[in-house]
Amino acid sequence: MNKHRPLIRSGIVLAMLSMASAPESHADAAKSIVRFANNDVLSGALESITAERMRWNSPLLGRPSSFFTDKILDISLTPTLPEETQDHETTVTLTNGDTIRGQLASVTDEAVSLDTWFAGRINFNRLMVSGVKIEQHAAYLYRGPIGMDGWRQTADPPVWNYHRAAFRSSGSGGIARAGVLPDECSVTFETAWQGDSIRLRVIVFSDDPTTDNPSSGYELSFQRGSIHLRNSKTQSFIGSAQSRVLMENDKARVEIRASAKNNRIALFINDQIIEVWNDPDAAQAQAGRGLHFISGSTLPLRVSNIGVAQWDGVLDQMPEPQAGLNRRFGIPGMGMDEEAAPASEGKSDETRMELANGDSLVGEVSAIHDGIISVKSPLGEIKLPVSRLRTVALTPVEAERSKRRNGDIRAWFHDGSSIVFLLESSDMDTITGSSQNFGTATFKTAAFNRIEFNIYSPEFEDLRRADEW
Amino acid sequence: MRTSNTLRGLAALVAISLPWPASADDLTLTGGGQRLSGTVISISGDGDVKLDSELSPEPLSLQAGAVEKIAFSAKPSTEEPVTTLIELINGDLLPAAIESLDEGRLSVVTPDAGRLEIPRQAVKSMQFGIQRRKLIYEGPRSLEEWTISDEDTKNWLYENQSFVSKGPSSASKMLPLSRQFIIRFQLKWQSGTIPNFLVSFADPLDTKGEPSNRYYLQFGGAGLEIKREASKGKRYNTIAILNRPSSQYPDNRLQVEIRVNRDNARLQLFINGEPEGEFADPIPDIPKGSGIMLTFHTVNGGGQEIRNIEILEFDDTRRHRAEDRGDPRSDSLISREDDRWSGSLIGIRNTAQGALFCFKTNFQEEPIEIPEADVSTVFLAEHATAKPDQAAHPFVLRLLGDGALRVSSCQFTGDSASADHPLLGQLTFRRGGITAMERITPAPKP
Repeated sequence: MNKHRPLIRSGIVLAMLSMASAPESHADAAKSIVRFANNDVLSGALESITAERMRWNSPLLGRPSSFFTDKILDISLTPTLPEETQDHETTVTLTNGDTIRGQLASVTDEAVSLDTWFAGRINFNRLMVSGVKIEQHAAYLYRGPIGMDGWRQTADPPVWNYHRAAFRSSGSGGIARAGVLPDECSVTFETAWQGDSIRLRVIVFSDDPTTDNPSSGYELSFQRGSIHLRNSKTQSFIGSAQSRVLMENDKARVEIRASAKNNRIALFINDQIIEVWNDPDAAQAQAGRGLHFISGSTLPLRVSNIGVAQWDGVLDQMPEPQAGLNRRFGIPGMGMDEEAAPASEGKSDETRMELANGDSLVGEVSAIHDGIISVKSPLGEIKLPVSRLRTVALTPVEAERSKRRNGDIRAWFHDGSSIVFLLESSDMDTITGSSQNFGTATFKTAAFNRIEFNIYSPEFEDLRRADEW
Repeated sequence: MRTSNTLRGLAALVAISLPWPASADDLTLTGGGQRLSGTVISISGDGDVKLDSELSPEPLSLQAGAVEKIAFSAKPSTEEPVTTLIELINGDLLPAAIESLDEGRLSVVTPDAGRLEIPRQAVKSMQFGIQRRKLIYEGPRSLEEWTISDEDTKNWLYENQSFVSKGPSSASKMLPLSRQFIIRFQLKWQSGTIPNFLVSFADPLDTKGEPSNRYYLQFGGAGLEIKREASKGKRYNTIAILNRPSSQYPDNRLQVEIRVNRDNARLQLFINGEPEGEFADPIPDIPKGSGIMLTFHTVNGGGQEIRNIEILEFDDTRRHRAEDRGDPRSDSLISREDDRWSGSLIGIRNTAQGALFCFKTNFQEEPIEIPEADVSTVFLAEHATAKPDQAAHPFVLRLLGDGALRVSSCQFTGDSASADHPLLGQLTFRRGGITAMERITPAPKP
């Protein structure tokens, strides 16, 4: 569009070219949106795509139409998430920055293999794997967001919208979902904020999604580097903590483990435990099933990659001891060392693997079968569930980075991870691509919420960056 | 007049391959936030649009009802702009230079459609000495270009080139307003709700709540009012009032144009393109401000919007169009000095010094001759000619120079466009002279 900027625009007020028959149903039916580098935007459905052409079916067009792939900025899709049955998830990080999640299938000197629901088994070239991390969790009861459905806004007018697999707020107000939390749950999410500090409240076990002040549950208030916990029913203050991560960054990954049975709340930020609280007024607490995110700022705030899973109520680790006054009263500037000095720091080496409870193990993976990993250690072969590991030691290699190729695309998963590959072919349900990282794989299109094109063009990247907020 | 053709069907609107033009047409699509750009090849009477896009190897076919608006990449002619605007009996406006007029025909030369012979009975009026209006502001283009308080920010949305108010909200903008200016905008409100808009202009944007010299338009369920706020004396003074309930405006939308002449303290009001009259501002100390302020008392969660805001310089040479033309059975001529004659315009002929008007008044034996340079407006006598069926011509072609012609369809071929006009017949335009095409009657169901 920039290339063809009109010399003169109409100086006359324009009425609608179409009025009575404006096809609202068109928008309803279209779930995907393609954006072009000239700012043109069209909703519809992806029928097929190659390195040269994309076939797009829009209700506004008389028939499916072809578009040049080299003009496409990105395609936003509505992912379909499978039912989670696994108790852990492995994240493989590649040397080009890609991250892919799945079930760890094998680790050898040649490859790290993941079993995925969206592309079957993917064998990653060991030379291009920079890390393997395992997260333990019960089966997800909710993962998202993938839209506004099921969520309710409390502000009038609403301040939250859904865009690029995230909720984004444009003012003070809340968004809530009823009936999503079990009695004991792990709530994970990622948040990012503009301005100099975060101003976010999260309420768990709410009984009323229509208000930002429900009469049950626990409210965690994140503001600057402080976190305060209070009982929503009694409004009594339970405790507070400090986080350097919140003070020094503009985004964070948060996990809240909450039990309505024993009235315990544990907070993790960027996978580091921050604090564990017990509610002394437990008898007065009533547990709803609702989850709230409430922005306290007129500046934009983003919440994404929300996951809710069952929690067994057991904590594998506890925060480092802190000064009593800080624990009790949350004095700023004290007790902020828990993130600066992770428990594992200083004792890891290249063959040492971390366990979920903070223990570590030296050895070499010999086999993985049915979720059980065998490790050859100096003490002999040790078998343990994969879910009990946090990291997997890889044989040291001289890392390589996959080649960039014309026609590479970047596909984003709903959880914020992404993978780059050369687009080979596609049909209505799958996309086949290749990369030095993993050879050739066929992906279910339903796994992706966005696919970016022309990813090595600085102009295209600038346009994408401008849309981040 | 050119031979009139029968309406062309969809089959006649076959896409014709075009060379890529120097600029692109912008199409706003239905469904929220969708748009395409390129070169419009054709628009059928059914509303199907064929678009040549750099994004696609083949022309894109957009179904009827898919397009809300087309803004063409108009390119002005290199020739001198014409200074005459001809109004036809169906309300269409054609910018043209007069060659001659006799009992039966008006001969004109248009900058973008060449020479035309128009039946005299098809002409309603002619306005002379019109100058091109300089655009001061066109928008809205974003919330950022307006001043909005933090408190109000949450109630404004910018969508599809319009400001949408979701609750009580205001926004203001300071502009380089001239002494004479035109403000145009379109208001829209949710079906079943009562609108409550306030748009102030010539506003100094002084401290909120303090009396100041400014004008404002207020539109609510009971009607529309233009008011003058004064910093001294009686604070609020009605200048114009239209007791037309909001429910009487089709599609819950209202097109407003106000022409403000601060030199003679007069305002002209046009609603949905029709003149509503000229009104005097009786308060001394004419507003000198250059600000515009939007104050929408929208109920929370409601939806009121404003779009297509245009501010133009106003030369006041068209002031007589809004006047009562007098006896419609005779011709009327108004000079630039505001002299008025009724009688018969015998003819217009070209001379070395320009067009000369030969007018026989009802009170003189001999016709008088008046040079075009002295003529402001001519109204021709009305005849019993049947007006064209507007439903058969659902589109309006907007032309450079404030022209607007209703057509049944339009074909675009290279640098030209052709359309069938109910009074002028088959017309061929220079493509660059068309600024927009819009549907003014509902599209057929897709």
